[in-house]
Amino acid sequence: MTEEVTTTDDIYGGPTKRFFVSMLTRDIELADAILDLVDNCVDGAMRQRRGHLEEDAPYQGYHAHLTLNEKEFKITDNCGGIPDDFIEDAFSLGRPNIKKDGDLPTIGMYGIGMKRAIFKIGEEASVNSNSADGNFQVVYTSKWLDPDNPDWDLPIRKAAPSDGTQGVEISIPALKSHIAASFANDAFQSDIRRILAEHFGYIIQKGFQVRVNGDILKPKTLPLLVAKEAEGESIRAFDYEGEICGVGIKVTVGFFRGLATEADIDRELEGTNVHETAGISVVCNDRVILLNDRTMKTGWGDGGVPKYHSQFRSIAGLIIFKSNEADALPLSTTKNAVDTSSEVYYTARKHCMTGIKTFTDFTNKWKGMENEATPYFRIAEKTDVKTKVSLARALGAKVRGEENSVKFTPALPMPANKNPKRRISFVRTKDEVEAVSSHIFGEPDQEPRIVGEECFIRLLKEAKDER
Amino acid sequence: MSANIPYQLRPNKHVDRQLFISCLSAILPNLGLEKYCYISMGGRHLVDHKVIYKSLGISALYSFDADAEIVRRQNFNSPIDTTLCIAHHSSELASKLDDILNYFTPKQNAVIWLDYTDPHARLGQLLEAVDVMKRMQPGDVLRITLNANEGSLVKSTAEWKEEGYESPSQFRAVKYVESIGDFAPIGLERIKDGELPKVLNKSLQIAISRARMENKSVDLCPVLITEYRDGQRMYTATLLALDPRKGNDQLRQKLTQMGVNIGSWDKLISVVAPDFSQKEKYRIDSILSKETQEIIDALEFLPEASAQKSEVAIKSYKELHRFYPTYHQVDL
Repeated sequence: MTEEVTTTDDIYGGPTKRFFVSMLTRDIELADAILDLVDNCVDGAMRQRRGHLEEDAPYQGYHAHLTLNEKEFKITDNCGGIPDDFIEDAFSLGRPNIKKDGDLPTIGMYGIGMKRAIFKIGEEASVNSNSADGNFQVVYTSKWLDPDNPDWDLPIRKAAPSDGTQGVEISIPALKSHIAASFANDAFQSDIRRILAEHFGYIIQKGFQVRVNGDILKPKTLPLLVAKEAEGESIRAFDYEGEICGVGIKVTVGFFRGLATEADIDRELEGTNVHETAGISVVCNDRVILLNDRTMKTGWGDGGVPKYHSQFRSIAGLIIFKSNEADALPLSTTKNAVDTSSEVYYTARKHCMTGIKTFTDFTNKWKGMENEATPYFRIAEKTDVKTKVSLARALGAKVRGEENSVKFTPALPMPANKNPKRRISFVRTKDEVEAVSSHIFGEPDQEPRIVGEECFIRLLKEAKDER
Repeated sequence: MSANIPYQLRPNKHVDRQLFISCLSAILPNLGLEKYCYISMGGRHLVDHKVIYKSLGISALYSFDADAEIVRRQNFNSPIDTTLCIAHHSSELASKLDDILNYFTPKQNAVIWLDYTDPHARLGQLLEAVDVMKRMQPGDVLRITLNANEGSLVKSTAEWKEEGYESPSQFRAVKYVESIGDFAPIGLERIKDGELPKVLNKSLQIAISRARMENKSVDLCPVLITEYRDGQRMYTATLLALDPRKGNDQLRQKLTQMGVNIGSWDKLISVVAPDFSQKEKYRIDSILSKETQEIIDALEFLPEASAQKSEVAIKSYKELHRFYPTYHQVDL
């Protein structure tokens, strides 16, 4: 009997340069890569302000200045620089030590974000840092960034701390061609300002400054309509505050504008709406992770909550998470998405659904009577959710199964329904509508809604007269 | 629609409800009867609320209906003046649960009955039930009634042939899967005559699994599963929320001793209230301990159309006669 011949050998199971510099960057949008870089600036500011983060404007005096044009990308901050014991994590491509900041609510100090952004944007780059520990420079040459170059070593030039600003400057003087084209595009320039203002709105609100090509960005935060000193039924927000697994949660949902009328909905269906604020945003340690979501992720279309529809375009809300333990937050590893399977997120989503449901029910009950609900909206004032809405703490009731959680569900006004209203809706060809419009009004171009309504009014009068 | 048939003409529904009350009578005193409030749709006459109040003494009663006119009638018929009757849709219940419990402070637990009748809205009904399950806490009881009428899956007897299926059972299965989405049992290929309650039983288990993904604070254990005909065939399941962090062996043992089938999804009780005259009932009662066939022989007639159906009727009577209604004409 012959013995079967077997051989043993090793194959390479490690990472390749191509994977990191070429493949990994495909998973992230350009705007998200830039957000990652600003995240690092904010984390630095947080570390500098340790012990003062509960103040009203803890980041006053700290900034991230971005320059982006068809020739270069640069981000400069004054947020303390990269400390000595963070350098290795900042430049290695392994798993970052996200616990290094311990008692600070950062969301992943110098994880994959900085490297991925550099690889995404440029063909060469330099990182200069000046911190209390010292001064250093790391240069990514085009040779190092070559996907076929197996060399992983990065030379670092260290020096004693200098007297200048303590911070980081990432400079990318050679852009990838498609990135240069994006930076030269006016629409991208406009979008990146809006995206930064939205994602860092709550950080900017706390004093942080973000400049893009010299323009200081104004924060975009969510104000909801809240009636002051409300007696009985009025427009106020749903508000929940609690703590699950060491993570502080605040969920606030409400109306940011009056109810959408049929004409508003028609305009939206025709695609003429402006940038939409409706939906639920998720904020982790002051960073917006998910913006204006209208999907199952935040509870739309699940359980008793209806799917998002144009008629609900007045509803918006925030789910806010806060924790000093970055890994306790319901964040996916890319930082740009929520981990919807975590217990913390389930709890927040459940309360968010209660909030959404409160306002979709209100919208449905006033359907066809939107104008009659207007007086209630007029006496409500736009109130910043994150800094000014504290209805749960002030007026909330306890939540079953959750110690220390409180919830406020507003008593919203309901239409008097002794003679409930019914919507009549139908579709006819343009020619027919114009013919009826000419017949009634002497002109063919009256709004179809008015034509239909007038037909009904006239027939109703006939019907009553016949009785 | 069965919902419009007066209760006094719905003996099976009556028996089913009595079984539910009997089950609650075994469970709630072990968990603290004083902690509970009762929440259900209630209908026009609040029959359930009256029975719950009279049988168990629960005075924290909440009813709801989407129709404000029915709610006004509920207010008129409420067994006690503390009953809270509110106009809202069943889909709003889950989001209001905390507020309802807070209204009835210091009540901490709820017995909730979602009594659905519409056979064409099962998916929405299960989604609503999941939403409620996500908010349940240890000690809560949830009862759900679903329409199990197989006719709702087939419009006409010829329909399955016209659409090219091998059999009505195969057609029903396809229609069920189409209508119930992710709640369809895996591998469902046929629904034979009388099998829809068993299929709904499986779909409900899937619903519980979905809720469990988001609410790990409870294990939802079946304590009573029934099917009955009430104009149409109906399916009900009653679930008790247990705390998975606690050892519940003692409670389980106690409830089992009291005749509660805790944790068993297979024990589906078929509620059949045979049409026996008072004289027939007295005769059967006098020989109740005898074998089924002996009782049929003693009656000297077949109480149902066939020997097999008669046997089922007598067996059901033996098991459920305690809960049968006794009707008398009352002149007021």
